[in-house]
Amino acid sequence: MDKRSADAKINAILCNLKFALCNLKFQIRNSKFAILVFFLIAAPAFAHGIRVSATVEGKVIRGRVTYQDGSPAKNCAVTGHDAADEVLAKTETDEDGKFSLEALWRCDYRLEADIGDGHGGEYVVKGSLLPGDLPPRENNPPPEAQSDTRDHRHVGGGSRNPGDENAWTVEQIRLMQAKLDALREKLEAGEKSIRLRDILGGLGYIFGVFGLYAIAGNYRKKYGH
Amino acid sequence: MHIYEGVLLVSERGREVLLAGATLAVLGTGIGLRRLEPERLPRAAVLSAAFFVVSLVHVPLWPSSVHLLLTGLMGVMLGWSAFPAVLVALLLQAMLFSYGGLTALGLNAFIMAAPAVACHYLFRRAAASENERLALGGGFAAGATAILLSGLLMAGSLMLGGRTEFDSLGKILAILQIPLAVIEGLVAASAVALIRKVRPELIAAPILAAIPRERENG
Repeated sequence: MDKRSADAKINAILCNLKFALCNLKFQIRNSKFAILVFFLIAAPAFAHGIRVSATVEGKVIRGRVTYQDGSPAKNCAVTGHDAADEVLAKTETDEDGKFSLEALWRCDYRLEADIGDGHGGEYVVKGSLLPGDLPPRENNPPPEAQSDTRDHRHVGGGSRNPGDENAWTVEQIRLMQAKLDALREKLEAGEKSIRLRDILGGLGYIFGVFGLYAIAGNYRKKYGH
Repeated sequence: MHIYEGVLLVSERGREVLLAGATLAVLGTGIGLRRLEPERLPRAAVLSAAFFVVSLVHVPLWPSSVHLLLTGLMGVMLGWSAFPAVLVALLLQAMLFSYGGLTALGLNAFIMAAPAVACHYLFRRAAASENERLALGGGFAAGATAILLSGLLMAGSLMLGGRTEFDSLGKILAILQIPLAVIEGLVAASAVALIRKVRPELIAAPILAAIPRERENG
């Protein structure tokens, strides 16, 4: 999956570079609108928001931070906050955009990724996914109150029964992970197409707003104010 | 270059900074709308749209990513009207892509539009000059200065808002803004060159109002 998306990205970048080169030639000859056209075409390839995703393996929260186009956000600061916004853990993503945090409490971890210039993303890891032997955070509802505790308890090996610890085998978890990855890929593809539509819609709004303002201006002029 | 929602909202001082930014943005937008003549509306709309799209084109540059703003060019071509143009584009970015966010909208608009207005007063004469070199230099300076000023304003508001942990990262970003400023300057300069060839009246603002009337009369 990684290789395919990497290939697709390289293709997209090459395509853009070719286009840019074409434009440059065209620009030198004719020098009209080339810059604007290049930016408009390049937008979907480079455009991004920040996306954070994470899963729980035992006491470790593992996740990945990516840009909108699926490329990893390298060396990006990731902090885990509790419900009261207190920082519980801090780390940084590696070359692949991946990060891992050790959970010290059993509570909802709000993971905040910040690439520094005001662009960031969030993801909440439910406390109920974390093993039960971790101490609960006071301002969190007690683990017993959460309804879906039972379903996930085995994943973390948090069940007090040691024989039960590996009820979910590593293989099963991997399988699940692969399925989730495929699902995420599908979602991302969907989001990308929505995004292009959003950009076009946004442009429409801008011209609409200015158009309305122009109409209002004309009206004022006509009927005198 | 956007301060995103919640970064400053958590502290008392941060909220004050947000409020001050919003107030200044409202004032600037008021002045900008008063000075926005009907003849210049299409220009403001096109530049607002260009700003909207260009801010979405992120070029990865370690450890973060940068995007052009075109605010220097906006300042030279629009003056105070850069405020409403930036505000509209930012509002849509906040709503469609959650860049910035609604509570930070005013502050973000101020951070990006105020340098544009400064560039208008500093470099419009140079950019509208007959001398081609001076005009290109003016364009470059406007583009670069707008980015540097925006960076300063952003770092300033984060620090005023009591976000000390941005200190070291802020330093890295401050260094990062320099290549971005150079790129932005080059883009602004080439845009000025293009406009000079195609429609010189677009930059020389006072002439613009006169030209259509002459055409109408003649």
